[in-house]
Amino acid sequence: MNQTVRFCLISLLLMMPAHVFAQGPSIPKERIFQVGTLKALDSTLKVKVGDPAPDFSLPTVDGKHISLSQFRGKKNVVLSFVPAAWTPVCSGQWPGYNIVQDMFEQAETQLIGVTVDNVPTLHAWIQEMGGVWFPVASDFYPHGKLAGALGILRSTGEAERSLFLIDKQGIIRYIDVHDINSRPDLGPLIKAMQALK
Amino acid sequence: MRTAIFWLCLLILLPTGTALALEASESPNAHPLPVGSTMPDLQLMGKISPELLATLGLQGNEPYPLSNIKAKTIILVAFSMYCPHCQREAPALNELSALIKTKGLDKDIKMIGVGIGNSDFEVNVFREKYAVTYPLFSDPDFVTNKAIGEVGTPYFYVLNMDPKNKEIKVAHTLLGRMESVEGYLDQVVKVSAK
Repeated sequence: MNQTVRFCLISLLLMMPAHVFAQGPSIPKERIFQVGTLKALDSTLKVKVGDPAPDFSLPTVDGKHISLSQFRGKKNVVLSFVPAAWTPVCSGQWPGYNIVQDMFEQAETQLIGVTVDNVPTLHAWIQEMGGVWFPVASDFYPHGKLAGALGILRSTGEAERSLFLIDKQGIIRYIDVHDINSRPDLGPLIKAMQALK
Repeated sequence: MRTAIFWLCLLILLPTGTALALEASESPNAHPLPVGSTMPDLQLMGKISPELLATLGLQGNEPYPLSNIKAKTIILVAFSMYCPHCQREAPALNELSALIKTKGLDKDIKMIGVGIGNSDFEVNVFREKYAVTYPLFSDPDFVTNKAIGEVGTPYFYVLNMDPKNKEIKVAHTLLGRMESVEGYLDQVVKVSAK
């Protein structure tokens, strides 16, 4: 190789900052659609604590399907609905769950993230986020079928920002349908999970 | 040959540009307080052990006025348990706290964190997950964040205390992760109240 080319290559490699090679999640703000402030709630809940949860089978971003019945008698399940991919609060909620995997495992609880976006959109969004440890399911088609059965499908087609804790017998034990504009506090959910053990 | 050099350089520089994206969770409404301006006397909230409170010269129950902290300079780090950059910066922040002690600066320079939008529970998750060694306050309703300019996270304020004039002055700001712990502390020392 020509010496000039070699010099150029080595100099440039040395100039590259170390973080070029590091994994870099968190989505730059210009890629996040700014939704502004929305109506806090825009649906009527159809289930209550003590009701059996509707079963579902939804495609996930890893190309599989996930159902409630597969956890029957084995694990409690938390469904974390967020309204839409590529929006501000949603992009800031699930990365927090990345550091509490141990709390879910200790409470024998499977976390499942759900939105009404399609699988390719969810895949791109989760990749951009840097990945999450829990399965992410698409309630896209028939559009919002599960969200509709729970009574959290908004008139604009998104789901409410909501959390459902379902025990090993398939009974709903905790519901938090949250103001869409803000993130639910993790504390009450974790306490409800720990109370199930 | 010149063309070859050009393409080689371009190939190497392209990913560098992408990676130079800020390592912070940015806030669309951010308006940080500029250097030289006065920081309001924040009313800090949180469940903090008496031992850690004592390191700040504080005692009793929340709220704790920022101005009551016994220090010449305060490094205030706005973070969130939900922010991946803050999660990755956590070990470096513990290193910074340790380095302040190792250099014998801990009497004059105190370090605190404020969990933006984080409840006591969420702050405690962060504290335990990363074995945080310095005091962390909570800000569940974004009250502190509004007062400090709705900043992204992590955000570093270096604040100089002026007890004579009962003022707290912004001496240095940084959005995003530190380039190096040593380099950052050098900058803090340079601008800190003497």
